[in-house]
Amino acid sequence: MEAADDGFRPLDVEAVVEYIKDTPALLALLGEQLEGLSVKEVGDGNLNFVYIVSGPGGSFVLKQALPYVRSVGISWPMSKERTYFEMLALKEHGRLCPYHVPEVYHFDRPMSLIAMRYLQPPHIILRKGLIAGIEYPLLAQHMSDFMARTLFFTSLLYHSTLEHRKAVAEFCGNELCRLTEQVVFSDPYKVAQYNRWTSPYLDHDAEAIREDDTLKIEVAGLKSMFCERAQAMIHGDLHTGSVMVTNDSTQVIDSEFAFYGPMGYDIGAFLGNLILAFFSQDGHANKDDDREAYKRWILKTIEETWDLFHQKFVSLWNENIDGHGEAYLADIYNKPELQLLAQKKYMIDLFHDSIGFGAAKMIRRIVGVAHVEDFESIADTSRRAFCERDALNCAKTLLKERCKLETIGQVISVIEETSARLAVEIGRACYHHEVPLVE
Amino acid sequence: MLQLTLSGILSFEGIYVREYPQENRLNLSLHSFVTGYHTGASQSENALYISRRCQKANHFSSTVDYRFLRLPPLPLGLFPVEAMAAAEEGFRPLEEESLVEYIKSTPALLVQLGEQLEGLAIKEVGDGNLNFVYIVTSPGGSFVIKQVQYTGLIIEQSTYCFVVQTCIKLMALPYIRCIGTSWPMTKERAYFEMLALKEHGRLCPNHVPEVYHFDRPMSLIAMRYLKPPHIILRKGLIAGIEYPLLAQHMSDFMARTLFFTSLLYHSTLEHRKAVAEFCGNVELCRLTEQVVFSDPYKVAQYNHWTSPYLDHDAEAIRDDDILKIEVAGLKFCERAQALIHGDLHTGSVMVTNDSTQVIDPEFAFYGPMGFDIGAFLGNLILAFFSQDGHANKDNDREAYKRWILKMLEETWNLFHQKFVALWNENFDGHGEAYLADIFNKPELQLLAQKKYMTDLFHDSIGFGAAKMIRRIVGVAHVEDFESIADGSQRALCERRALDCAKKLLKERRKFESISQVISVIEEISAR
Repeated sequence: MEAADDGFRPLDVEAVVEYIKDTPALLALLGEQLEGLSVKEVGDGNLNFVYIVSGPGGSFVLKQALPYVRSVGISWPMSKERTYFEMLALKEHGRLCPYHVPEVYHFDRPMSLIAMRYLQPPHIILRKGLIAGIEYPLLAQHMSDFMARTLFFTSLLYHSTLEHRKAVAEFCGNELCRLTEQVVFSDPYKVAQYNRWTSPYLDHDAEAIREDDTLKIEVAGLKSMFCERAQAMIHGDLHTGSVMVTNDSTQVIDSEFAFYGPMGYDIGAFLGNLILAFFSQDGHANKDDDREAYKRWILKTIEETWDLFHQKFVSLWNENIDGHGEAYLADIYNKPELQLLAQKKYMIDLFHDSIGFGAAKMIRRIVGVAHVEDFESIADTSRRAFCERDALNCAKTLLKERCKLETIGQVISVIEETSARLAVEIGRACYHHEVPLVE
Repeated sequence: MLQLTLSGILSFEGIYVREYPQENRLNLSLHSFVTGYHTGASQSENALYISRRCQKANHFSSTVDYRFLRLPPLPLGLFPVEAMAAAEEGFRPLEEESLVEYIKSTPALLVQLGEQLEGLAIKEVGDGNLNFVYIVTSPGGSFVIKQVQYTGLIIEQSTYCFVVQTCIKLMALPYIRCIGTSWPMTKERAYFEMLALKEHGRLCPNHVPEVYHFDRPMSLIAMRYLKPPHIILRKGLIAGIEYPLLAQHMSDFMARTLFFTSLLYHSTLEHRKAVAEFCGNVELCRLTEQVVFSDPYKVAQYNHWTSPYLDHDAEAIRDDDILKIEVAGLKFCERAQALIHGDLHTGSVMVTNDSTQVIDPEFAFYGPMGFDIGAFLGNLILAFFSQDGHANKDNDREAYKRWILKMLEETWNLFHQKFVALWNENFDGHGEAYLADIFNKPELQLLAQKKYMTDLFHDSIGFGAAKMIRRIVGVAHVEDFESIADGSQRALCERRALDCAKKLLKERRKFESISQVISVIEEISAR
């Protein structure tokens, strides 16, 4: 296919091979060996084409953006410049946290195309691992590392104002923010074309959300923060589908939504999706595995992730207190007690932001346009609806009450309480034969 | 009074320094181009291009503080000035003769003079803000020309650069931290000022002088001349003049400029574009961060206050943990809420009995709305507390103090009213913060608005208080106090203002109405 005036042409499997032949950087990655090359298209997200290219001499992943939302079609255009921002973010994240980010090998701006390291099997998407009930002992450690480093080093706690503003300006061009604004902060709270939910079970729940005044006011505050507050460079879509894992490797991918926004949005995305995974477990339980131990592992991971993040973030802050970050000058916060006080206030605000954003993301995955496989893979719709309803209720409680919560332990309590009600309800529903008994 | 002897320092060829000691003022005139002086680096790296002439400004205070001009002893390093780069890009500083030529060759300006150059008069007035300002009048018309000054000499000492101010007033920008050897943002401030003037002028034409002409390489703006009897509001407040339309006009200006540049009106696409554009105006933003939010809270070289009376008060500020935590929470540089003027104090407003004009928006960028509102209200409060220092046997200023408080109250209340009215009128517009489909019931809209306005109120009080504090213990003070000749009387007024500011900053979240703020002011004033 001929390139358009802007130099773009969408690839397919054959075209990828031709493209590789014309690109020395990519040929080099394959050790110049094109014999026995295999190209497989694996893109399973909402936005892009993803090709795994592997041959005897090497391998890589090619990701290309099309100028529309792939899962919807050309009726929903989306700027393909998102690849540029993804590349910038991959590079910056890779610089700050090289163990948890695949390297970028090649970037072709007109073609909206990135080549990066292929995360070889047994790497799988974390979300799938959570559905399958697999424990990842290093997950909390790795993710807290990633978040602490990427958020701290791109904030005014570390940047000078000059550096910060330059970076903010650069990322102002990332139009994907508008997608988030719409699908996370707006659509779930009104009648919107692409909204869907497990019907008819959740019809009332979806309606209740659309009529919940307190919820709307809270979400409006979060939306403003999302649009206005250039706190750090955030991944922008840090759900469990953006993480690939093995037993001892954790890799963060898909950073095309990256921009300068509130830190809590990344932390909230990850924790919120863990909570969704938790509530979906009852839908994956069977006679061999009731998933109770796994549920406890998920809660432990949520708790550890926040606690370790908190610890590492504050350490980085302490190590860099005499640096060129301009937010909390050492000359002003010149006493240990004062530094501690300032840090405490900062971290509690960040905690509240994270809970708020996490809850908002949970809600949108149940009554919005894009759902999560954690629930979608529960075949029995009424059972799915039970799990989703409790996730929804938990999210609403967290969103509305977050300013009263001071520790992650209290968040866990909210989850456990909501879940206990679920168990009672399912039990009751089973008793009345509304839901099939587990064999 | 410290005598600056620049000639002693500039001991290399080409520099021509004239000193005009006059009424205890020192005027510097640097007439030539200079090349090269550095202790270490090569000439090409450090070629210095000075082409500046400056005269004393006419309408500024006769009390000048030179302390922050103290220059470090030689040997020094000189760094390349923005001016050099600017010159390469077509910049040249204008003075009276070259200005006439410039006008003659610029049709947009000739038109403003009705093509009549006979009887053309040019008066230089400066603005104390690193700009040259010329008033150009002829029988056929008039305008003001504002051109960025690339101050001539930059001397580095550790991480600080000292800028020698050739036009001296109360310095808002006595020094600028150099980052590396480039100063990329400063020369563009004329561009940002022009952008802000145009945007504000579009949104609120009755209170912003029109821009007639902008010349980017020349860092030059031509705008409407605010004819006499327009004076700077701050001077009017010192003189005890009442301005009956002030609250109405300023509330208009703030409501319109802040509402229409926020996400209550913008789509996020428009908003981000505009935010990105103004991200370039970072240097001034960073400077504000430093002089407003940082320096007063630590031992900083250029801090000064009415000594010895306020020594303890200044120290108390540096030791006030709660105050510091509160100030840290006023995250100035992170929140792109609306296009703010950035320096909306009473020196940025020119007034007559029925005209109010906002000028000098060169600090404009996308920041928190409360910063503009707070700047204006905070400076009114400073004016209030200074009144006792201006009282005399003919006028005890009591009635005027009540007028100021009335202005304070009306300005906020009218602002609140107009802002919410604009919001209501535009609820179905393309603003994306509060979509009509979501906020689809009147009670819900009201609830959302109430929360928004309460938060904005608290922000405004917070920022206003911070600005009050910095004007008393920081680098740049205000004429309201500086013009009180008696040091102990001045200190008394300043202390009350300081105490008021600290209380407002710490307790602002308890306030729900402006009248509660007025009560705090009155209570402290009575002490």
